[in-house]
Amino acid sequence: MITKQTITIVGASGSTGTAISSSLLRGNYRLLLCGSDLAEVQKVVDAVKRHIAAAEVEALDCTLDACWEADIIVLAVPFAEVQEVADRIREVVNQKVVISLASPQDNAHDAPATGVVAELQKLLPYAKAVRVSANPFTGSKPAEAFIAGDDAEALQTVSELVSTAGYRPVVAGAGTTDASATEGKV
Amino acid sequence: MYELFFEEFNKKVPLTAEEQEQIKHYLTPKKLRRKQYLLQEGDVCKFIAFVEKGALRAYSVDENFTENIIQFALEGWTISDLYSFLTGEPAVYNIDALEDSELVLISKSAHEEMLQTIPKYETYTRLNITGAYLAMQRRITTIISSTAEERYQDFINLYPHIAQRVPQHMIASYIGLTPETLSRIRKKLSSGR
Ligand SMILES: NC(=O)c1ccc[n+]([C@@H]2O[C@H](COP(=O)([O-])OP(=O)(O)OC[C@H]3O[C@@H](n4cnc5c(N)ncnc54)[C@H](OP(=O)(O)O)[C@@H]3O)[C@@H](O)[C@H]2O)c1
Repeated sequence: MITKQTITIVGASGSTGTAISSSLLRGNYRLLLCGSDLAEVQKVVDAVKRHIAAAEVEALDCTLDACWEADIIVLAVPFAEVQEVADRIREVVNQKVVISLASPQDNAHDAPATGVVAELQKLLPYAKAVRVSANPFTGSKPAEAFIAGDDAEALQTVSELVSTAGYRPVVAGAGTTDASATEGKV
Repeated sequence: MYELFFEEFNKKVPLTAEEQEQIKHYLTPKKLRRKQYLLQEGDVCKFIAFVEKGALRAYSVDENFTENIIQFALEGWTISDLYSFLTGEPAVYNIDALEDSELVLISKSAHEEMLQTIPKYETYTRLNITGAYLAMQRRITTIISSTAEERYQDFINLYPHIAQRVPQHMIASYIGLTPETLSRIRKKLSSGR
């Protein structure tokens, strides 16, 4: 795709959010970073810009505005916060790809993801919910990222995004119909 | 977020509250900042954009890197590379924002699903495309059979709002004149009054 896509990352100042932000800047993306503390998010922007001066990345205070501007939204918040964020952004994410990185067991990289996409899809019924779980510890290189969701076009978009971020995308199946396939086990 | 979209829709085809809600789920709200692209030449155009707020233009770029504007879109108008949208072939136009804008996008899949399931959406689409066709005919006639001065006056009469919001060189491009020619015409017209 030639047209630059805008990705909003919610929870960008966290450890996952920070890592995702810098890896996505390898691609043709413009990033809008949000979090609960703007000053913390701004630190991530500054750090990223030290590495890539021309990076199109900026911190935004208003998550709703940032998601309104976005083509794709990434939720890098703790699992328990997903519902709160979903409630806030619901009206501006219609038909957009919303990726959740959250695991039911935070920090467990290969926690079972059964039903996670289905849950997110229920929270955001008119968005295209996709879950991505990556396991950097399998020893395979590049590391695999498991992708689950119901919308074929969204899975394609997310596969490209995940490759850009340096992972090998593995489409693990439809999110709501075959939940067991989304478990992050090879 | 969708106020103007539904206002215009209802003018063409009145909707019940229920139908409006049903259509709303298919719409993508999107903000675009000034100078940002909605579409770049070479990509497949994946949506039709309705302008809730702001202004956009569609243009091609020739071998001398001159921009040739094919269409403007202000509040209440629709803009797209329709050929690319309908065929899936790469777009020949660029579409970007002349002002910070709020759009309502209809993706290809949403468009097709609504055509299948919501008869009023099909009527709305037919009316939109008929309107665009008439505007296109009129535009071609003006370009092939009017003098430069007539073309400019026609534009001002037809689109007084655009003339106020868009720089002169873009208006020149839209009506197929060089900026120098347009500036001469404007001088002549203002001294003739
Ligand atoms: N998919 C994977 O492979 C993978 C790998 C690792 C982790 N994860 C998941 O990623 C998620 C984040 O983990 P992490 O280690 O990065 O946690 P973290 O370091 O605690 O980061 C969470 C971030 O979210 C922000 N936040 C919390 N509540 C928020 C809200 N309501 N609105 C906006 N921002 C909010 C936090 O901001 P404050 O600190 O200012 O509150 C923080 O910046 C977890 O769900 C974890 O399971 C996934």
